[in-house]
Amino acid sequence: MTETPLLTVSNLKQYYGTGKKRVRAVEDVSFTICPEETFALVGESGSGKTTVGRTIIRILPPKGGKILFGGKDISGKLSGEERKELSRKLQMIFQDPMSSLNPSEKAGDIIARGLDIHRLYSSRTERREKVLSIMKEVGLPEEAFDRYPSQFSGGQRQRIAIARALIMNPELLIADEPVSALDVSVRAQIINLLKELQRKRHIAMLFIAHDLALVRQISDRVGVMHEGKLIETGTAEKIFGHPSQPYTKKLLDSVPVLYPEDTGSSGTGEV
Amino acid sequence: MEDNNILEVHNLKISLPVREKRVMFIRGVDLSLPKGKILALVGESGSGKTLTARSLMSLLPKAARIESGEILLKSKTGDEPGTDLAKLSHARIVNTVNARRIGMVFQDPLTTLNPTMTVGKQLAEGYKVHEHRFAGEAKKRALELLASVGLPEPERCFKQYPHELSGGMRQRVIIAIALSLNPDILICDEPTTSLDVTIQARILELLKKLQAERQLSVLYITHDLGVVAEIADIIYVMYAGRIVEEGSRSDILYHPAHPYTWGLLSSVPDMSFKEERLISIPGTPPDLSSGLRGDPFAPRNAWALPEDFEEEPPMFRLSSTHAVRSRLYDGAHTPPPLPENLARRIGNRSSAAEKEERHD
Ligand SMILES: Nc1ncnc2c1ncn2[C@@H]1O[C@H](COP(=O)(O)OP(=O)(O)OP(=O)(O)O)[C@@H](O)[C@H]1O
Ligand SMILES: Nc1ncnc2c1ncn2[C@@H]1O[C@H](COP(=O)(O)OP(=O)(O)OP(=O)(O)O)[C@@H](O)[C@H]1O
Ligand SMILES: [Mg+2]
Ligand SMILES: [Mg+2]
Repeated sequence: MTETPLLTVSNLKQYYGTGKKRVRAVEDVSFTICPEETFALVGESGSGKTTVGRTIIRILPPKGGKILFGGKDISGKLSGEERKELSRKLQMIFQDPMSSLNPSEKAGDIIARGLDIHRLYSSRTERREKVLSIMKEVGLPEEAFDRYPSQFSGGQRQRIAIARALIMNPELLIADEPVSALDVSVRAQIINLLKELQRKRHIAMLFIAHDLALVRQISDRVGVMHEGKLIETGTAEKIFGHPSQPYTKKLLDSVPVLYPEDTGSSGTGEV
Repeated sequence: MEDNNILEVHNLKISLPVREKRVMFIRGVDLSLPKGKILALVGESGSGKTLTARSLMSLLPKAARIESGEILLKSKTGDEPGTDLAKLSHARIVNTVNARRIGMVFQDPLTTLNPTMTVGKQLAEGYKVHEHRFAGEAKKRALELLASVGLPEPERCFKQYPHELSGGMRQRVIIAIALSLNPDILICDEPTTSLDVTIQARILELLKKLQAERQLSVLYITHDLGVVAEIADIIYVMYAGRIVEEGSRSDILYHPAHPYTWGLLSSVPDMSFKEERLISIPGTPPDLSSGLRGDPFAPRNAWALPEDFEEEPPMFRLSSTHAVRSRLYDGAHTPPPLPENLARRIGNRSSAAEKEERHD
């Protein structure tokens, strides 16, 4: 690929705890993501995928290695201004929607949070309009604006989290299991939506998921993680068609399929 | 209560307040779980699967109210009439009626686990309370269970706090806790969504083993239809607070009748190639709080009949195992053929798969 990457992660290391309790969560992970590209991280549960995401958005400072974002090294100490800048361009949808949403805030305010921080509106009306428009895009009804997180189903909460990230128009979206709590039809809607927004707004994406069929649908390249390491990286065609690592093969073989001998060709569009 | 059912739900209705108004989110659910079977409850996100499951343990949100219905749990011996769980508090259910008969795995792992207690403590606690075991023995059993749900380092996990585990590890801990008391019925709400497929396969194996060995009955809620195909004996499809189709695994997967079920099955992406656009059901789910008229799926249904916009259809029986809430099957109409893409997908595979099914 000749394009300059938007994100370059090299030899990233991340540990939790110290001394005897130290867990090496991420070891020497390297990959790049180009503008508008979707790179998927798949693999073992507990292999460090979420940790990679959390380290890139700098919830955790890296214990080693380098992260270049838009040509800038963001792996060192960041000033408040730099952090703020980063928080606009880099958004993450977290794995556990319930725990990442403030229970005492209304859905509309949760979604507007980034707009508030960066003062991205000139009036209350504009703020509300921006929120309602993104809510509509992710399939939340208007009346959801004034409800609290506990008053939604799991899938609806996930949509709040997606709306909160998308409203910022990020350059890179880290999506950690963004649709796993949704029914397959809504999943398809959101994946179509993400693809469309990606084209329209040129968003690059780090997509973390266990649903491999979905990963096949959305990603350009795929990295497979196992025990903190990236054991295989390649185009989606390569990983799904000709995986080289035994663990990758095992992963693909374990996917439960709806119609076991299904070989494809199910058409496009809506039913 | 029918003989082989361990649990029956009749005409369950549950309401919740939304902006000072009571809204019926569960609008008359009927469901029968036969002993030793795995029943998958699938359906739209927000359709009421979790509320239904939680009502079985009287674990509804405080503001929720059961407006009508019965939840009958068959007595251990089977000769007495069932206990109506809808009339009991959670504490009563846990402490008296069925100390250990129902185990439950919830959708949100972090909210179920106690953040201030190590995993081991939470597991062993259950044993001590319910079985009066000594700490040492409780620990041994706890470690065995953690290993059986596929946690690679049970000893390490035993000593950790929930926030120190990955999403998938937490989920396995919850499954271990639910299984720790050897329940007769296991209710699983999205138990494997944050697990990788190899571990998921292991958990499904474990459930099937418990089903075969000790006739464990399972109510399994999931969005993963591949998983459903793998483990379910019976499938119920839910939309907007009601069951719209129920049947055996092969009824629903190979002879789906409700247009909503068609849409759901068609939306499952294919792993073998990349599609430009994934299939989805057009439109958005109904807003139950603004009142309903007619069939809530009608506005999204290409096959809706004029009377569907006036009145919700009843269930029509297609066979002893298969029933569907759609007037297309009332005898007066000719049911349309399956949508083409779905017919193609099921296609020639149905004959082979069904033969297999009849075999066992
Ligand atoms: N706060 C923490 N303290 C200690 N250890 C942690 C913490 N968070 C994660 N870990 C450990 O780091 C490792 C990687 O966890 P991570 O959440 O990144 O995995 P994951 O690949 O996202 O898994 P999953 O697919 O299950 O979500 C795991 O062994 C986990 O136990
Ligand atoms: N505490 C509450 N207050 C008000 N409404 C609620 C509350 N809990 C749930 N609801 C509403 O009840 C409906 C059913 O919710 P439920 O959680 O049972 O859905 P679900 O089928 O489990 O969905 P999912 O697949 O997304 O988990 C949803 O529309 C939801 O918004
Ligand atoms: Mg994770
Ligand atoms: Mg739910």
